[in-house]
Amino acid sequence: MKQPYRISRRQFLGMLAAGSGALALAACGVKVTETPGGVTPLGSPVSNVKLLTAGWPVDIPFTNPTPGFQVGYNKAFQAWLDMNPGVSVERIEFNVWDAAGLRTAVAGGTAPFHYPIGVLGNWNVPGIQASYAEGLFADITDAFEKNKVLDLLDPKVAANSSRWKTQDGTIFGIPYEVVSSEGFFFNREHLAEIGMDDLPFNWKWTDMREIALKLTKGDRKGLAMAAYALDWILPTYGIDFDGLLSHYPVPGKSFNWRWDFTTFVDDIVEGVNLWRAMNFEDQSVYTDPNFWDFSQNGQLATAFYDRRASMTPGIHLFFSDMATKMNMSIKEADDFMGFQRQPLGPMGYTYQLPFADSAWGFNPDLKPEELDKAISLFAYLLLGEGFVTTAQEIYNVNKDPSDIIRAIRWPFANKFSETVPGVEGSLSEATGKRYSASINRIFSLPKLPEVGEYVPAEVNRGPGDTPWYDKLTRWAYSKDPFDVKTDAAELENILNQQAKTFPSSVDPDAFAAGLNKYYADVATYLQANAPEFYEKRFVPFYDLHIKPEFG
Amino acid sequence: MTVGTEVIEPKTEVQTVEEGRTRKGWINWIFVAPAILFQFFWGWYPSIVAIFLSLTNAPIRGPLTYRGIENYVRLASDPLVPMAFRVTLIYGIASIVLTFFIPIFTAILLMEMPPKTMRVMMILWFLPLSGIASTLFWQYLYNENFGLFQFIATSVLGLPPQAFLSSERWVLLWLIVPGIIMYGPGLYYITGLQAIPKSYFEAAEVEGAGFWRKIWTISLPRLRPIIFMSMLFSIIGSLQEFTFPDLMTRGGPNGASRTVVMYMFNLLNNGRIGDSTALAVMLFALIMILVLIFRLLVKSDPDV
Repeated sequence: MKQPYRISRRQFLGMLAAGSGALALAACGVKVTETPGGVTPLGSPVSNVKLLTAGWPVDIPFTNPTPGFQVGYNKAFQAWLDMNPGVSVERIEFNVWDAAGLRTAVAGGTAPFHYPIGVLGNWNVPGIQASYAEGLFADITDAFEKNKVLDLLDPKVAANSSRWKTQDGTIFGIPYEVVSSEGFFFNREHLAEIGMDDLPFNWKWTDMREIALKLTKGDRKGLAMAAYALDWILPTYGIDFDGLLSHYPVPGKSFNWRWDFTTFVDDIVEGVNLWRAMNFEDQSVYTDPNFWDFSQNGQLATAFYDRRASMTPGIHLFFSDMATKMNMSIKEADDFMGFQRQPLGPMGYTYQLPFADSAWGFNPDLKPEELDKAISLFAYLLLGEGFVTTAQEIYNVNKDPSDIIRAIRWPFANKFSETVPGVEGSLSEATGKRYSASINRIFSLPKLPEVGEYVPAEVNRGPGDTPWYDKLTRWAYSKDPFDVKTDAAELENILNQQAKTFPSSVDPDAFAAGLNKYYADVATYLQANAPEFYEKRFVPFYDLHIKPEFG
Repeated sequence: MTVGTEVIEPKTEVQTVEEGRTRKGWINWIFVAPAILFQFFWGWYPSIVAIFLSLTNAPIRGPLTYRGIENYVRLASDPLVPMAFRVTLIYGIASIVLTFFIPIFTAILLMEMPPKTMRVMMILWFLPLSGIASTLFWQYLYNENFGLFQFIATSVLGLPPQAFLSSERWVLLWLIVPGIIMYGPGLYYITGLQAIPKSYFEAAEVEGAGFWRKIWTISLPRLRPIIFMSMLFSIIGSLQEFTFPDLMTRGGPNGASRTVVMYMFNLLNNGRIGDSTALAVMLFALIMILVLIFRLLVKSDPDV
């Protein structure tokens, strides 16, 4: 008779331990591979070039609810794969919007092939340029030229290259979207109630206070605003963490910048008082120290959708998403809401750019042939023929060009913002006449020079903006007694004390040369666009801090 | 014995014992290996690397450059560093004082209840709540404009509107309050109390001991190892606090609730990896000193 096999407790536990170890090791290497949804996987094995994507904007499958998008996108993707045998694209689970995670992945060589440049560069030109200097993005100059990406870009976007090109012409990113500076969406019906058709183009924060108060009615607030309201108001006085009048260069003295929050401290007091009056006296603002999200999905936008607030902050890109959120067609959304840029400061100054390129960088560990394919795929799908294929498919299914706008945020970084081959009608008209007119007007404003375009990238990061935000949160919401002037002096001391301990990686002569040109261009810009601010603020600041240093 | 041409000698007793020892050792290592590997990769290795990085320029990519104590000198002159340590220590001490002892007495009181009531209360107390969801809930409760606490303060108690998380003076207290309710070492205490033989209490009752006497002479001494362990975890945990204040206040207002770990995270997000790791090493040293002092002062064995 066959004896039943017996296992001892010790053997069992030993096997369990060994099995668990093997399982854990195996789990470390698990990857999820997908092919484009609805697309036939390539028949032949492809292993020459493998690109890892973490999803949007090169995704498999790219989920988008607009009918026709999925089919069009997959058709374009498959066409590119057919033209590029030997290339495979694999989907990995990774959040490219998490700065710390992305930094770690780039350092460790596990990053996807493309990721947003702004995430690693704190969304500003000096940060982005410094990130490139640190080696966080690949130099894509050759692949960019080989794939003729410049020819695919809208000329206005191509000319605005500080977020994807160094001063010596090295290219490290591809602009994918055009992003307006922050502004305000407003409810047209509510505005009509107070006898206005539109928010004024050249309005000031004092106008904002008046309008918000008039719009406040019962439970409805005139304005929904995020916790960093003062971070929008004070910069229009030239006061910011890196503001024109609160931040000055000192080349050759350890870190190259110092801070001054005391010279124009009365302006800070005025801005703080204005905001606190809106919030605490007028009670015309729906706000809270915890409201940091002003996206189309946040509490502020929800208050706007529910008609509990008449104005809400945002960037123009939210328009089509907001329409979807409110179950409105693009046309209905255009009738329901408008968009206006931020108010100006009391002397007509704005720190805002008309628009910025949202560019994507590429993994510096990619080999040249991988980089070439990565650029080719990105450009094809999002700027070139692939984009056209997707847009055409959406139009073919819906017969309405506004559905293209709903699926792909307008205006585009490529040349198809007005018309797409094979699509009837004008896309700017399909976007909504009033909305597109407003956006086009903002986008055609002259651009304030940005210091990052003039001076070499500083690799050694200086003081962070933490002390600045400390004071902003206190000034905006604190119920404890405080004195803005004392706080401003303290802020200045903290930042300057920190700055003294940082070295600089920038050559002082190159820095000085760049700054001479920068301040000359700023002076020209201000004389033409904010003459009062130029006379009463910029010239005294220049005489105090710039002239003694630069002559 | 022969098999084919090969002669197999029978094993001596010594050989068999030695093989047994070898096998035993091998199996032991399999059991211990996951723990050692885990501890090495997630504990020791990062700690060693952090100490090393804190003495370099710590670039994200590219060659490391030795900088000596430059990062530490920079942190020593940064006014935000002592501020973050002060907040952390106040938060740590206050949260230990306020959140540590209440669960002990709650657990003791629960043990005095009828078994059915105790079970219901235990279920309610130990409901597995999501930390993030609870935090968001508390954020709503504290909201100055439409929060429940503001409603209670103004409409029920007739008080003037309260600042709650906007008050620099009181923000730390408001952040600690949820811990009093939600912090859960109570489960350990109940387990410890249930392990005490009933005969101890019965004997004490026969001797005429009252409620407080039983707590003082039986419950608390028997719970001492668990209290010791929990307090050690509390010290370490409260000095490393990050998630709750970050979600609730982001360190505001005016840095009044920014802990050391939050400041480390700020530095990291500003690309200052060397400074961030130097600060981590400073915090590590502080925690180690406090833990050593605690171990010297407090004995865990109730029979000592």
